[in-house]
Formats: sequence, C-alpha cells, structure tokens
Amino acid sequence: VDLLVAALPALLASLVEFVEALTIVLAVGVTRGWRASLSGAGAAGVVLVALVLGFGPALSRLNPDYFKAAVGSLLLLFGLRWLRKALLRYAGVLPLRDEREKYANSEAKFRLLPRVAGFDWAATAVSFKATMLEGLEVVFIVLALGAKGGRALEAAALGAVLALMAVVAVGFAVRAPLSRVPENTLKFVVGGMLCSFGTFWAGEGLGVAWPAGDVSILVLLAATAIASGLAIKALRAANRHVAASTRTPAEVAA
Amino acid sequence: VRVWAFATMAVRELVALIVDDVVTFTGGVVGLVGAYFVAHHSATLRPWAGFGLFAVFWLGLALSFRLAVREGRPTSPPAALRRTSQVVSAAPSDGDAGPAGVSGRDVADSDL
Repeated sequence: VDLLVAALPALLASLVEFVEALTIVLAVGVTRGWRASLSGAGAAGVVLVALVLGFGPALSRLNPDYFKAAVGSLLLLFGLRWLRKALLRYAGVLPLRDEREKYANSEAKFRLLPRVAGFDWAATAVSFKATMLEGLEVVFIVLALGAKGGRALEAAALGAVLALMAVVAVGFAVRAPLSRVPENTLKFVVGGMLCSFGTFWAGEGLGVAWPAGDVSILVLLAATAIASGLAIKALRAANRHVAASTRTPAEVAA
Repeated sequence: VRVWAFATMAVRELVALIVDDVVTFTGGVVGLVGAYFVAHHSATLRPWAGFGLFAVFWLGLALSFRLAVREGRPTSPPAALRRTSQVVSAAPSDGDAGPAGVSGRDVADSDL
C-alpha cells in the first residue's frame, strides 16, 4: 500500500505534466526542427533525473518528524494549488485547458523566432525551458512522495517513468497534442490525494495524534471528495448568478 | 546579467510551484500553524488538530473561490509569479506585439 501511495499520485501527476510538455516540444519540433526540440527536452530530462538522484536519498535521512512536517506541508500547499484550479475549471470559472489551442498558439509564436545559420539555440532553449518547468513539478512530487524511505522513491520514480513512456509512445504515434487526456480530472484526483496525504503527514510531523491512525487518510480523502462536490455545486450556482447579473440590456432582450 | 536573470526566473518558478493564489496559500499556512499550536498546547484537542487543519485550508479555498467568482476571474498572483505554462496566447491577437515587434527573446521567454 505504501508503494502504491507513492507511485499512483506520481504517475497521474506526471501524465498531466508530460502531456503539457509534449505540446510545446511537438510545436517546437514541427516549426523549428526535431534536432533542436529533442536536444532541449533531452537536456532538461538529464537535469531533472540528476535532481531526483541528488536530493532523493538525502531527504530520507532527515529527522522523521521534521521531514514529515516539511514534506507534508509542501505536499499540502502544492496540492491546494492543483485542487483549486481543477475545481474552478470544473465549475466553469476558469476555462478548461485545451492542448490543441495551446499547440496552435505555440506553433504561431515559434515561427516568429529569428532563424540563424547552424544549430537552433533559441528553439532548443524553448524546448528545454518547457520540459524543465513541467518536469520540476514532477520532480517535486516524486521527491516528496519518495522521501518516506524504503522503496518509496523507486516506486514514485517508476510511476513518473511509466507516465513518461506512455506520453512519449502515444505522442510519437499520433504526432499531435494529446487533447483527449482528461487533464482536469487527473489534476483534481492528484490535487485531492496530495492534500489528503499532505494533511496527514504534516499533522503527524507537527504532533497531531490522528484518531484512527492511517485510516484517517481515507477519512480525509472522503472528506475532500465531499467538500469538492459541494464546492463545485456552489461555484456553478455563484458563477451563473454573476453571469446573469452582468448581462447587458441587449443580451437580456435577446 | 544573464546568470542573474536565469537565477531570478528559476526562483520565481520555484515560488510559483507553491504560491499560485495568495489566499489559498495563506489558508494552508494558517491551518498548519494552528495545527501545531493546538497539538502542542491542548491534550484534549490534539487528536482533532489535523481535521482542524483540513477545515481551515478549506475555508481559505472557499474564500479564494468567492473572490474568483466575484471578480469574474481567478485570484491570480502577480504577473511575475504567474506560472508560465498556463497561458499561451497568440501574440498578435492578444494585443502583444505583432510579428514585426517580436524579438527572439520575447518569444523564448513568453508564456509557454
């Protein structure tokens, strides 16, 4: 169960992030050439793996209480960010992310990059930056979930690698942005899991004696699901109300 | 200058990994601090401090949602902290400089 707790959120979060990175890498590849695009993505991949190998084993050697408090707090704050965005998107306050649109816009932008003779450093930098930014979130989650010790780091890293292989394989097969991946649902699930695990670990590290031990995680997961459902309902109603009150007379007449 | 710019950007991105919305972030931090004090100063409430943390960060989320809906847009962080992967806008249509005014650096540093 411990290994699954490390691997599953890492797998789901990595799917989301790698799909986003793939959109940019594809756009760079199509507009500027695959050499520059893959060089940038590959270089970022090397840096990200080095970060995991460098920091992963060191984190598990920290004092367990400090470690749980620090990692739990970071997971919670990180998860809140994902949960908030996913709920706002479900409710229609924020638009859903559209990979096809992102791809088209990116393509248009990258065509504007100045071309120089020789290696295309500008395109490489764009690809590197996109992969690095999306990958940093994956590294953060892998390190936090894997820092529990034992084989957790391997399990979390395996989850991320499986996601990478799946995204690369499907991306290579379809040569188009993966717009049918239910990104928002994945984001919601990961955000909920990170908030629940983060609350539990941070609580343990801060001195909380959870009433039912590890079972409290399930209670937190259920409470997160219920609170999210209520939040979506309330947000949709409030959003409709705001939309109705801001209509112009012409719109009302129509 | 380039190293400094890169370091600044890296720090901004790292902060933005955690702080996407100030209200939500504050709710989380207040909940964590509260849980610590309750767990260390009340033997009776110690088992429930974790659920108190849960309630406080949900209050923060609720407040953030309220502000997002009221303003008709999400409560966003300052532009400098904004996560760059969230917005990809076509330069000409969004009021940015059109093709003639776009430099390579603008495009490379633009929102991905």
